[in-house]
Parts: sequence; structure tokens; C-alpha cells
Amino acid sequence: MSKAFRLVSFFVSLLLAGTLLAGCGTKEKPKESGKAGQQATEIKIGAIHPLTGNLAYEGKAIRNALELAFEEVNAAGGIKSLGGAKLKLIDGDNQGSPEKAVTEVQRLVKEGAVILTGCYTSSATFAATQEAEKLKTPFVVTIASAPNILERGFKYSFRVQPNANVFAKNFIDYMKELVTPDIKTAAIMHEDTLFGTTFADYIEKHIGETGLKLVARVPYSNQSPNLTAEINKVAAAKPDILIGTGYYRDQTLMVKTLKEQKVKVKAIIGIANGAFSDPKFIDELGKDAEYIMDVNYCHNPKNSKSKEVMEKYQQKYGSPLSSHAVYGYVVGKLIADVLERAGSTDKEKIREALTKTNFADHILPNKEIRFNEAGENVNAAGVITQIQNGKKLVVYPGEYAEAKLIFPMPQQ
Amino acid sequence: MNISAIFQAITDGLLMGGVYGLVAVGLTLIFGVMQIVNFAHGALMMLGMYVTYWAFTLLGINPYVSILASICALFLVGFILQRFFLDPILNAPQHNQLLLTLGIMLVLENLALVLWSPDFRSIKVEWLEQGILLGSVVLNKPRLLAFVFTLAITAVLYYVLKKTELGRAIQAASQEREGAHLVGVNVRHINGIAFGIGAACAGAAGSLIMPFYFVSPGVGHVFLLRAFVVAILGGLGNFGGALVGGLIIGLTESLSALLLPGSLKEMVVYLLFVGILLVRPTGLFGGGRSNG
Repeated sequence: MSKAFRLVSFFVSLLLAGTLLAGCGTKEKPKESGKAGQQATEIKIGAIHPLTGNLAYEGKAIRNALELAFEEVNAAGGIKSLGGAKLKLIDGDNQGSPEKAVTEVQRLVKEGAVILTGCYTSSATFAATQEAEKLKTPFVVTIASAPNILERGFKYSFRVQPNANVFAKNFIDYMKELVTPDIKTAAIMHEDTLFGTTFADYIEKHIGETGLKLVARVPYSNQSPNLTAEINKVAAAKPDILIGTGYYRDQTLMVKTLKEQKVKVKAIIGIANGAFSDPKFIDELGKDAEYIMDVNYCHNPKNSKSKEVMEKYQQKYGSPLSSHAVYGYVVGKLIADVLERAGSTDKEKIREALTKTNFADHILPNKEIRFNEAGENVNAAGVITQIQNGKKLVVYPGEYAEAKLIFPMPQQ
Repeated sequence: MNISAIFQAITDGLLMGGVYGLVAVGLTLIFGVMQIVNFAHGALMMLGMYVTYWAFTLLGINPYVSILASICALFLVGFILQRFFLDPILNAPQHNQLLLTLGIMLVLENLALVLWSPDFRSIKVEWLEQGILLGSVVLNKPRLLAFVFTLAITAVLYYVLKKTELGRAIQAASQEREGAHLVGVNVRHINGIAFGIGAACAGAAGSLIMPFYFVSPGVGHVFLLRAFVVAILGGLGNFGGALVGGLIIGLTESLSALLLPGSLKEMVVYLLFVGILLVRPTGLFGGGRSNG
């Protein structure tokens, strides 16, 4: 008994001595390096994404894109205003859950992260930004579209991507321009949780502005194994265009059922659609996916850098850069710009620099990134993509379009 | 609402209901023989879907041929599960068995998650794409085929249970375990076979659903809850009741989706379920322990 106790206390004191010594070591180092001139140090950036569990695939993609951006910055000499300091990504895994996201924020801040990014799902981001606010640590959202994340008067949270309201507004604005006299009516099919319903409410309220008349609004459960009856409801209303918002599985099922039931519409348009912007959708539906449009985020195909980044990503990680991951890359580059301007790793100074952001050197189909009071990117906007010949292409607005919009779609 | 839309909804409901029925038939068979509520049933169905998916994607095998493969594979899985996991606790309190099947479900699902990733996968069969136009009603080919196969599989099962030696042994074991044992039925063996058949039903249903649905490791949940409702509605343990129960649920689902506003359809199904049980607590056709 006492032998074991002695052994344990010996180890504990050894550990204690070790940490004390290590503490001394790090304290002395900066002085020395200060004398010896500027030596490159590391700046830690925390990234909190789902790296395991159901959402791991996309979470990893965003994280990889961040890593790629940091590598580019480091290879080009790091942060010059900080003596060529290198950016170091430290990973947090939230497994898609808000509780885990909060503990990861705490852990990463403790480990010395001066900026955090995340979290792919809105619920996790909602919780993580709150914790970051408490710890006074700047948080740049990679992907999360719920508007309410930044409606709480937070000072340390910033978002580059368009939020859900912006997507819905984009849709209405674009339709104002695109609707022709022979397109008069629209129907909307949306999944019935908060995600789909928010869009549908907005569309229902504002669709009058486009000159279209909403003839059917059909909600459905995203767990439903069968959407035939819902499609028949749409068919009975005979809309010219069908608007769809939902997740991958249910929206794919919707289009499949539409084709099976031989329901003809002049266009199918998604809003931040979980299926229409996913490369798998094209594989799965083949020619049935042709001409389907989506108002969503995307890279800027007119920017030559986009292609370069996409090739680099493909080469390094063996899969194409998804539109979610594009934001990982952009946020990575933005962080480098912010640190360069801040010239400090003090979190207050970094926050200051974030509020003064004016960053145009990105690969998004938007103007320069600038944040408003709430931390939203004032120039964030979606584009319309359309599937043509098995490829998803940006077709609207014109300045970013890589192909001509085909609207209404030709009837087979 | 025009009349052809209603006809369409009725046809769709019946076709889908047949598939619900087939999932529930396996569930009800297992309950009838062993008095085990099998929570792993949805996961077994998921395995059947993956069998068809891989057979089609890797080997190009017609999904309706791969039903045979998934029946055999799932029979084996079911038999092994019964022999090594359920058999030892057959005399334990019922909630233990229930928790065990729940555990099996979680293991199978997470195994699938590790092996095949959480991606949604589906197969694209050219000749199944277009529906058949019958008057003003469009018949969806994969659903029609699923319905036909369901009827055929249930007919075969019915014949096996009623007319063969094996079927009589299964019935005997389900009615009176001790008695069957006394007259020389190898009850342990019969239990394994019955669980195997139940699992094979789930596998066949999975294969039949694959051409018009998606598979992912968690897909079983969508069908498991409905299968429970269907099986209980038809009288847990009652074979034909499960099929009729499936048709009723399918029909209710598609008609309420057409006629009621919003996403009330999910609610109506369960409301009907509660309503019927209030009037007939043992299900529409009574419990099947005596008439297997």
C-alpha cells in the first residue's frame, strides 16, 4: 500500500517538476529570440467541424480546404507583419452536436487558438459562437445558414456565406429579372422542418413581387418513403415552375417521382437545395437532372484562381472541391488577411481588424467581403446554377456566368 | 380535386402498402414463434438493401435476381443471430430480449456506417424509369414489381407454414413450446429457422425497395416504425393480418397526403393506429398466437 503510494507520489512530483521546468523554458525563449531578431512563430487557428459521425464527409472537406489555404499562406512566407509567423490549424471535432461544439471551443481556446472557425451545421454554430463570444475569441463561420446565429448582437462572430434570408431574397430578385410572360404560376415543395419552412414562408410572402402566382404549397416530411401523393397535388395545380427546398434524399426523391409520374413543368428551381448542387445528384439522375436550377453558393468560375485552387485540392485530397469547402478555403485566406492587418495575435486587435475587412482576393462570385455591425458579409449572395450536359454551371448573374441560362427548359 | 388523382393515390397507396406488409410479415412471424419484439428488423432490411445495391453496382446483377441472394444472406444472418445471441436468453424477461435486439440494431447500423459510409446510395435501372400509363393512372414499375413479389413471397410463406412438415413444426413451436418439444420437435432448431425466415422477409423487402428508394445505414428507422404499426394493427403474430394492415397503412398514407393540407399524413397514420387499437385492443384480426 505505502509502496504504491510512494511510487505514485514520485511520479506526480516528477510530472510537476517537468511542467515547472518546461514553463521556465518557454518564458525565457521569447527574450532570446527577441534579441536574435525576428524568428518565425506559430499562430494557432481552431477549426471545429464534424470530423466523425454522419456529417464527417463534408466536415472533413471544409477542414481540408482551410488547411490548403493555410499551406498556401505559409509557403508564401507566412504573416509578414508578424515576422513571417506560420498559420497552424488545430482540429476540433463536434460530431455534428452543439454540446460537443461548445466543449471544443473551450478546449481550443485553452490550447491557444486566437481565431476559431466552424461548424457546418447551424445548430452547432449557434452554440459555438455563443461560447466564443463569452471567451472573447473571434469566430469566423465557414458554413451555417441560419439567420438567427448573428441576430444576437454578438461582437466576435462573422459570416462570409449568404444566410438563408439572403438566398430567398436572391431567388425573388433573380426571378424578377427572369420571368417571361408565358411563365405565370409556381408551386413550392419543401421539407417541413425549420430549414424548408423558413424558405417557403419567405417565398410565399414575396413571390407576388416577381409577377408569379403561387398555386400550391406542399410541405412533406423528409423521412417520408414515398412522395407520389405530394407530387400529384402539385400536378393538380398545374404550375409553370416548381420550386424545391429540402435535403439530398427527399429532393432527389421528389425529382424522381416527378419524372415517373410524367408531370411536366417549365422549370425546376431549388433554393439552397441539398440535392441540386450535389455532384451525386447528377450521377444518380443522369438526363433527368438536366436543366435543373438552384440558387446556391458556389465558387466564381470566371476567376482563374478558382480553377487553380480546385486542381490543387483535387490533387492533394483526391476529391473535387465541394461548394461548402470553397468557403473553408475563402475563410482560410480571409484569416491570413485579417492577421496581416492586425499585426498582432491579441484577440481584441484581431476583432478590430475583422470589422475593418475589405477583402476582394477571394474565389467567390461576389464583390469584396465586408462585414456589417452584425457580422454578416454585406456582399454575400448566391448565384443560379444549372445542370447542363451533366455539369453544374453558374448561369446567373451574367457577370459570373460560365454558360447561358436555359429557361424555360426544352420539353422532351 | 379531380377523380383521377384519387385513383392515382389509391393505386400508389396499395402498392406501397404491400411493401410495408412484407416488412411486417417478418416481424410478426418472429413474434408469433418466439414472442420476441425484433427491433433489429429495420437494420436487417438495410442489409438486404445493401446486398442488392452492391450486387447491382459491382456485378451488374438485376435487382430482382439479387432478391435470392439477399434472402439467403439474411436467412443466414437471422439464423446465426438467433442461435448465438437470442437463444441463450429466450427464457429471460421480455424486456431483456427487447434490449438485446435494440443492441443488435445499433451494432449493425454502426457497422454499416463504418463499412459503407453514411452516404445515401441508390441504383439507377434504365428499364424501370418510366411509369406505365393505365387510363389516367401512372403505375410506377418498381413499386408494381415490389407488390407482385410481395404477394408471391407471402403466398410461398403461407404454403410453407400451412402445408409442410416444417411449417407445422413452426406452428407447433409457436403455440406451445414445451408441448412441441415433448412430441419430438427440435424447438431450438425451429426457432433459428423461424428467425431466419423473418430476417429473410426483411431482406427481400429491402431488395424490393432498393430500385425506388435510397439506402443509408439509418434507413431502417423509416420502415421499422411503420412495420410495427402494421404488425400490431394486423394483430401481432397474425400473418395475413400483417399484409392487410400494410395495405391499410399505405392507403391511409397516400390518401391523407392528397386530401389533407400540409404534412398531416404522418400524423393521420398514427391517429388511425391509436383509434383502431382503442376499439380492438388485439389488432384488427386478433393476436395470432393461436392461429399462427
